[in-house]
Amino acid sequence: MNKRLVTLDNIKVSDVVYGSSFVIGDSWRATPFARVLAVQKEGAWFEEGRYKYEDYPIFTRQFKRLPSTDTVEDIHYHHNPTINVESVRINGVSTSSMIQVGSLGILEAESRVKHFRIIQDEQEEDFSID
Amino acid sequence: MAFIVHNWGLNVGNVEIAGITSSSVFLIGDNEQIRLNSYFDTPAESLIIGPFVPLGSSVSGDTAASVVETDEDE
Repeated sequence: MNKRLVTLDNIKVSDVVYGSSFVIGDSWRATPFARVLAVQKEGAWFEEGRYKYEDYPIFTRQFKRLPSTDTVEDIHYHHNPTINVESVRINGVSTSSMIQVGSLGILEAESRVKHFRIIQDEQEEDFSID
Repeated sequence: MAFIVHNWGLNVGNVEIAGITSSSVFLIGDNEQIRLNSYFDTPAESLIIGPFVPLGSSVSGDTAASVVETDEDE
């Protein structure tokens, strides 16, 4: 398929974080991925290396693939060679996401996020039996 | 089967987006193939603020039924 050009007058992106990208121009293939251990903890102590990806199956389990379908012959007629956009305003892009102004062949993105809430007092109380 | 697309023209004014997160994409341009995967795990009692919409909890029963069907197929 022939790719169209893009004309964009103005773009503002405030934040690009955690394995994300902001691309101007064409690209053939992008495979961003992010693994996140998000620890929210009561108390001021944070031990380094306390949390490991290997301890949680969310970081190793396979993603389900869509069943393959029959291929369809497609023909695209671009009667206008450009896509025209006036202005874009984006606050943030995060966790293996992507902004692209231009054409993209293949995009395969993965993100795995595990959250923790560690509350000191409640955890101790949970073990006592009334 | 012949799949024929006529792109007569595309003109857009202003776009405003708060956030693009967890394997999402905002693309101005042409594309051949996109595959986006995301796993998200959080404690049940935690407060969720953000664009993570729980699936299958819509008002009509149709959505819930189609979710069950998908599980059986796999």
